[in-house]
Amino acid sequence: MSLGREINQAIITFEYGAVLALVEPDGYPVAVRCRPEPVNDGQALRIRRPAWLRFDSGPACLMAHSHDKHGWKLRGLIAKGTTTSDGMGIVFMPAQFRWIMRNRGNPVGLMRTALRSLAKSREDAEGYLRRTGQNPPPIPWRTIIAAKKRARST
Amino acid sequence: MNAVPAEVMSVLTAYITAELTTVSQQGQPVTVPVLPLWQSRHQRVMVTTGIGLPHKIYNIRRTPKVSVLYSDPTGSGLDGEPAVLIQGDATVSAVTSWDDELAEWYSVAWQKQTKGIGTDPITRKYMSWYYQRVKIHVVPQRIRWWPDGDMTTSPKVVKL
Repeated sequence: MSLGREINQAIITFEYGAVLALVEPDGYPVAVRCRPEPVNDGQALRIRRPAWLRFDSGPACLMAHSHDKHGWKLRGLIAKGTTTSDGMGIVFMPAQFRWIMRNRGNPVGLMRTALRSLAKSREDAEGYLRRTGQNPPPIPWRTIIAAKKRARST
Repeated sequence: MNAVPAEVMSVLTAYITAELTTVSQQGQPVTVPVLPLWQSRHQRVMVTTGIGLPHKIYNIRRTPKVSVLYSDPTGSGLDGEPAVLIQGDATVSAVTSWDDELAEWYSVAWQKQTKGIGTDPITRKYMSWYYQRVKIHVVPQRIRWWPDGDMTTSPKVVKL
């Protein structure tokens, strides 16, 4: 299956579609909620052009995420690529795609992915402290646990 | 300085999540979901990240221009599905595990996200990085918003 079609099949499982991000000429990122459709035999995805967006070419990112009404059951994906215009809309050509949070699928596979993510985050945390020359601050567990209890009881 | 309109404020305080976009060293926009806190006394957005997920912090240190999009109304309790796009300048704090701002952010997070990362012994041992956080403050420069959430139409705009 082509990458564009794979991304589209994943995005349609999200109630609110996806978010397309580009970088405006003044350097600020701009993000729009959208519902992409596959084009070019599923190689790319087309997004309806917002009337106010005056540019459409360059590096781009397509991200989808969801949570339930309790802010949990998190799911998310990200695709990176570039955009151009085909006269009918903005065309996103993906180069990379991965799930950033997943709660559906083979439980063994999900567990393996979760453990890998955990190990990577521990490494990244140590790397961040090292690169920025900071020491890990002590964590006031009693204060945090008490505050959490208070917040949940209100 | 213009004030943030009331209809925008209602979205900023009600939506559980938003989408933060930073720009990588290669100029690639990268969007991640975040749990934002609107700090009305400072007229800015605060998000935080555990230091185990540092890529957005690295991006902001290089390129402080970011956007925060509020476009998923799930759990907000608001009528309609308004969308708000903030573009602004971000700064990052030193690594912190507790202060008044984090206490406020946690309080909002725990109320909105009634499940979440725990404080049990296993989490404390293997996920302490989650509780060692960097605060990201975003001062808005421009706000666009769509009362009906249809972002293909022309937005209302305020420059701050």
